[in-house]
Amino acid sequence: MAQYTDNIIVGAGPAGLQMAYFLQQRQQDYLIIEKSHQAGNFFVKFPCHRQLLSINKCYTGYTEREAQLRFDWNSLLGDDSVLNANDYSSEYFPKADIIVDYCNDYLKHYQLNAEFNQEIQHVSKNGDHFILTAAGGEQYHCQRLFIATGLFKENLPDIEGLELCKTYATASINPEDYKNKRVLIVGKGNSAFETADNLVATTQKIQMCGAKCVKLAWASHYVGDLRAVNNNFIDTYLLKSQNNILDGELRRVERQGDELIATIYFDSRKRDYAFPCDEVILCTGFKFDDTIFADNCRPELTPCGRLPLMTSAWQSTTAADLYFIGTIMQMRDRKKTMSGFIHGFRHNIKALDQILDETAEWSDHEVFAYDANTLTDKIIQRISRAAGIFLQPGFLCDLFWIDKSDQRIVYWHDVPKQYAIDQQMITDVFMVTLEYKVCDSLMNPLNMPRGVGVEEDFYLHPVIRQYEAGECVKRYFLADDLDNDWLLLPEHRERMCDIVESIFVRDIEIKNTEVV
Amino acid sequence: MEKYETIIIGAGPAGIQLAYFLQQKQRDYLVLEGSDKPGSFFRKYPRHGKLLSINKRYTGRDDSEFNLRHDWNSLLSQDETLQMRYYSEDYFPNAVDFARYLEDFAKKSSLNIRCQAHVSEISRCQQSKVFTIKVDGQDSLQCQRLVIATGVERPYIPNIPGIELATGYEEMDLDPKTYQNKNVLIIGKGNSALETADHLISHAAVIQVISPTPIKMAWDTRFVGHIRAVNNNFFDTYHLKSQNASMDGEIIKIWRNPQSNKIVVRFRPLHARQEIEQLEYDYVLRCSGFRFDTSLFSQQCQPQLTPCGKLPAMTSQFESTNIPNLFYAGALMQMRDYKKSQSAFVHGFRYNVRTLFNFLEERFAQQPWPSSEIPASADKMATALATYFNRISSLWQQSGFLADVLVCADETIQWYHDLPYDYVMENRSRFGDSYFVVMFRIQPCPGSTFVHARTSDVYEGEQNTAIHPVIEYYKAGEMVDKFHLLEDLLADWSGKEYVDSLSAFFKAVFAGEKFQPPQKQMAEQQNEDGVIREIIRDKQMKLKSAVV
Repeated sequence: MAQYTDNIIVGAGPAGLQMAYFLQQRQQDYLIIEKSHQAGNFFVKFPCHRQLLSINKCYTGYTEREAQLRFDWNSLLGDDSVLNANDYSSEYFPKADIIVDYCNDYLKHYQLNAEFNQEIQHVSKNGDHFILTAAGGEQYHCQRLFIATGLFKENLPDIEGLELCKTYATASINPEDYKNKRVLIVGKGNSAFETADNLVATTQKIQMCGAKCVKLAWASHYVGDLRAVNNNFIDTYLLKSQNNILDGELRRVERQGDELIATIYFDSRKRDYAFPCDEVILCTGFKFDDTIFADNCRPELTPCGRLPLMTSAWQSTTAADLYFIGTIMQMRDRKKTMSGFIHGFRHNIKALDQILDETAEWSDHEVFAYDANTLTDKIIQRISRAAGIFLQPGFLCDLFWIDKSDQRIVYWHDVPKQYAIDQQMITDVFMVTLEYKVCDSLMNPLNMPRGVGVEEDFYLHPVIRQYEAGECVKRYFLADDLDNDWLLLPEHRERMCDIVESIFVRDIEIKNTEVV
Repeated sequence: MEKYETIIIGAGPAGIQLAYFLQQKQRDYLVLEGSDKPGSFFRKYPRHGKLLSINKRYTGRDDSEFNLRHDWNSLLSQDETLQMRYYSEDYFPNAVDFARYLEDFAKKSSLNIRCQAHVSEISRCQQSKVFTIKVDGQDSLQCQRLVIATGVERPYIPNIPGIELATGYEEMDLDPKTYQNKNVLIIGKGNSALETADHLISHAAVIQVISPTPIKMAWDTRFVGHIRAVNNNFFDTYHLKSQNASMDGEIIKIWRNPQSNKIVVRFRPLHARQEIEQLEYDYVLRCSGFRFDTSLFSQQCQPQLTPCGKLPAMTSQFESTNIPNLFYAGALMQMRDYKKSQSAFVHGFRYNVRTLFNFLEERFAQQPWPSSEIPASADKMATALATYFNRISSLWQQSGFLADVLVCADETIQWYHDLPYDYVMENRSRFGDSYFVVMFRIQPCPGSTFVHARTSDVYEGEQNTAIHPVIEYYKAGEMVDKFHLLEDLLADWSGKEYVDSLSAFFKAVFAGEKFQPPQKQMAEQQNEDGVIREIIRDKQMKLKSAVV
């Protein structure tokens, strides 16, 4: 007997729970279906070395929950501040186990609807209904389907000798198993470096290879690039301690006697070299699993095949009413902003919920009097405290519309920028974002000038864009602030007053403005 | 009165290392140690307990000389049991384990150390040139040669009005809870400052680090005293906007705000807006390093210091520039290679101390400098050097600072080991008319460390930034030729092309010609699909194309 629900969410990870929370708030009919026996089950095993890279800063000096969320990258959004990841650990980088506990407590606390131990093995579409079939044959029907299954399938290279390699998920994490061995680690992301760091003390030699060169998060501002806490391995190469980092791509692995021979192609020399080693560990990331979908609703994938293609509203480009939530959302802002992580996608999901809400235009908004001072205060308050636009810089934005006829200002919070553009929400509005200026790859981020009177700062700074008839006609910049808190220094307010003045009386020319 | 030929002050790693060599030769010496045990510095420092010197126990080789390249803590000794690997399994060992190692080393080597002998004054007789050392204000000892191995133990306090409001690294509270939800400023941007910052990350609300000098990463500069990767986590918390910040600026003044009871710091940012800024903190921690302590020396016996006043001035033989027979051993030796090679660390100064010992033996016991002899044949020299480059640890660790000198005679080469490069340059006549100077070189990458191509032509070694051997040839006191051996990814120079290139260089020198690299030859064979493939064995590594 098939069960019908308006909305079905597949996966009870952080994203599934977050979506369920918002649907429940709006009293929508929904159900989470989870293959394991509990919420957040992915975090039982991953990350393999157990330390999360998402910060858990318990002490911020701020009392507002919204401001605290800027430095709490693990909590989900909720209507009260009873349930915070901060209460599960005081460690800056907590153990992954806390996510499992937190997710299950979150589910219980908000009394979310979920069915466990039901593995969805097949998804097809019949008319405008999705039909989901579980391993035991149970069927579920729904109007709208949310895929929140995360990325759990390893993205392994198509090479000869794959069976001779271990992977991030299958390799032993006990350093004693690698005593005096030569290990080749394939990949240069956080999982590769976390694996290498765990083995530096017991291995004889670690070679790390990957076609691209190492990218540091502190240079790119993308938290998925190599994090400082994982980069110790670099010193062991550049301070000549036997290990190496190579810009080459693994082509094949063969067994020769009691050792493995890994063939690596170096594009810089257009040739292969062979490396003898004892173990090869592939740390080459994860990809989206689309095998459950029938042809009539199979989502189109990105050219690399690792993620489903989606619109700016996170809807499949090929299957209507099929939405992607959670880390898969990174397809829209891959390697730029934080949709791949809880602290990014929790705000995306809040935005998606508003996109889906047909009863209101954008419920997270405020309306206030047409008054320069009030507007100045609102903008400064938002850029100094709001979590969404801060954690998703340039990806989520605030919009405000000056309604002169009714003498009021309408101010929308945390709107996906591209969605606003695609939906023509920006005909005659102002857009507020926090952004980094893209900087030259040769600039040293550890020695970068801040606020030297350049028009636009390199570090995170507020940008206000003025749109007329859908076109950006002007950009205003505020200087960066050491504390990312523009409430502290009077000069920030003065500058913001000038901008607002110029917005109200549009012909005033002010400094630090760029006409596009 | 007790008299010794040599007195060493300080039973830290350097004092112990020198005593070890003196003991081996049964010289008349005594080590004076203020505390109750050797290595007491490491019972307190680094404050957070972790050493930055690696203890790589698995290298794939049994050669103890080679293994010292990856063991930055052990002292030099014939006794194979005296290795740090037997005292800690950690890659970055705990400092207390190192202290325990030093204690054992002193005991097992039967060194003549007197503990709880606190030196209160050092003076020197103008006539007899004999040093008199007052211990605990009363007993006096005398010696002809004095070695200061006290390390850099006195906190360096920057000259800033109000600096006394800052708590020093040496005395700060280590409990992170003390700093819970507080704003903390750390003065300094070295490893001690960042180790402190990292320790407080989970509890402080805001942490800022400040110093006038921009950040230098060890992986860029190749100097292990610059910021190490293991300590750099803090920078993510700045660049990923997690409240903390790293600032380049000069502090002008510090005072306490009587209303808020907070500490106010006024500073001039080096580049931000060029305006004076003023910020308030709950705690200001001073992590601005250490300096040499001169308070022990009497008025007549004040050693000359470097212009910055942090270190004693010394010659290339580690002797005071103004007080003859006063020598320095240990971290103080960094004055000679400040922020370049590793004299500030055990893995650098253990070799310097051996070199100092050889200077003392040569000067005061008329012992010849340790050397060996090889035939003056280009091929034999090339083979001998390639083997040597694959295992020698002293030149490897002290690249650009310690050098070997190979003096040419008609039939033979006399090979002298581990001389300070500066000393060799200052004493060219000592080595005769024709000699080679051999050392390692490593240097920062131009541009970005992470996007740096490595050359693969054996005759283009000059472009190398990674560690590689360099040979200079001197004729009549002038350098007339120089050869850079190509770097090797696995630091294995036994491959034929390396030996051949060395041999070609020596042949040219012996023929009295300036060395010219031969025409490039395509030695490799291409297989059907046009891709060249080689099997690279551990012993014949041919990859030089690695790019970071």
